[in-house]
Amino acid sequence: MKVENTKQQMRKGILEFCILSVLKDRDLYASEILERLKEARLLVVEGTLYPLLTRLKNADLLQYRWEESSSGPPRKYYTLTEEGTQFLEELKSTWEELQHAINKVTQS
Amino acid sequence: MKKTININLAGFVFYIDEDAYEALQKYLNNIRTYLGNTEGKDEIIDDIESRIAELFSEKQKQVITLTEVNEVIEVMGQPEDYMSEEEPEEKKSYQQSSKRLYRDPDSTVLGGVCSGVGHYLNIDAVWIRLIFLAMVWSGVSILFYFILWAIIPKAETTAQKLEMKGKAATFSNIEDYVRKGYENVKDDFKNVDLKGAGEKAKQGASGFSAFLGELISKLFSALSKLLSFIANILGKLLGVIILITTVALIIALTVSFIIGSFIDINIGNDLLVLPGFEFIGPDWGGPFHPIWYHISMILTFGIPAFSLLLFALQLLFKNMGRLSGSIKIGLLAVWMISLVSFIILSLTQF
Repeated sequence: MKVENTKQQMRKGILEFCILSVLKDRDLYASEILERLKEARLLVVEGTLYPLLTRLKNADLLQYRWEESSSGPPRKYYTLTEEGTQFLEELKSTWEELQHAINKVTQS
Repeated sequence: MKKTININLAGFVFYIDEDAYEALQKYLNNIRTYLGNTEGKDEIIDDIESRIAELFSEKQKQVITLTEVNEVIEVMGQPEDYMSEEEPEEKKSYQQSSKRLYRDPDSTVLGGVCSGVGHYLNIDAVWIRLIFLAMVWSGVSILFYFILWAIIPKAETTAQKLEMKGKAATFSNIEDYVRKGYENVKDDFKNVDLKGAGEKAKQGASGFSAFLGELISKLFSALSKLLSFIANILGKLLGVIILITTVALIIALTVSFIIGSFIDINIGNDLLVLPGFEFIGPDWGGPFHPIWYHISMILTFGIPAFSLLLFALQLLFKNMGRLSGSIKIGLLAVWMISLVSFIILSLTQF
């Protein structure tokens, strides 16, 4: 068992939660989402994001609109749907529970 | 000096080197293959393309070279790095392989030979069984049955059962098979990069000899593939011809034995008695009894016929078992004995 694999698995599990979280306050387009995630060192390769975005969109948690940009072709801006917001709330409470549990387990 | 290509990537226009273009094309094709038929595949590809375009434009270069492409691929990652665990369900559609001859263990009378052959030919097993029964008359098909039982493998796993019942060996499938083989070979010839070799040749004599070597080795590998493809087709063709000939031969032998027996009975000559009924006769036994003549005749003609049949089956179906060496030697010995006794018996009888 490689530690790299396990780390990757951990990151992947929470990636959907993180994508929804960064979209909570503000609509972003893919590169901005990438920027935020990479800042937090959550992503190793950028390609990971795109299948996830499409999946979240197909699950009606996200939707997008096209917006003109000054520096090139129009961009896809993603925004949370009603369902997405609810989904995020649930994930958040689960995350808090998990965090609490993990702290308890690892610190005792 | 290098040739560049003008591409439009998600609305951005780039000049890109030829080799860089090929690398990018290959990368995108990889992703496409990797996604298989995932939902929203085209959308994912579009998104990835527009991200790549953005990364290129950030570099602010006149011409995109292989270096930039490799950098971008590094940032984006290889498809297997980021998609393998996204979709845990089996994405690859079950590739239906061609049909294979197996014995069917689920519907057997004896060894499942007839039902297996029935599956293969898409005929109800009853008809195959009837043919076998009709041939039992001469004693040939019993031997035939046991040989088939020995060399046709039993379908044990689910995959094998699927293969057994799979696509019928119809003409369109055969055409498919031939076309696929042809395209493989054609691609190989395409990959023999004549133009590239020519250009490299201009660059210098030392490069030229290396390229000549590579070109020749590529040509040879393509040629050898072509030859094995042709050999494969010829082998199958030969197999079919031998199979048809042998089956016709066996049927002819069977029929002639049956008719011969009847005629002999009708003329009152008991040289050949109706096979199967000799046992009832009062004079059973004795070295020169007609039944020995009959048996030696069947074996003398039957064993070569079955060897041919076996050969044909092995040509046609790759999964056929082989007779072990001792069985082969045994069959050869039996054949020689029956040949000798057939000749002796013929001489003494006439």
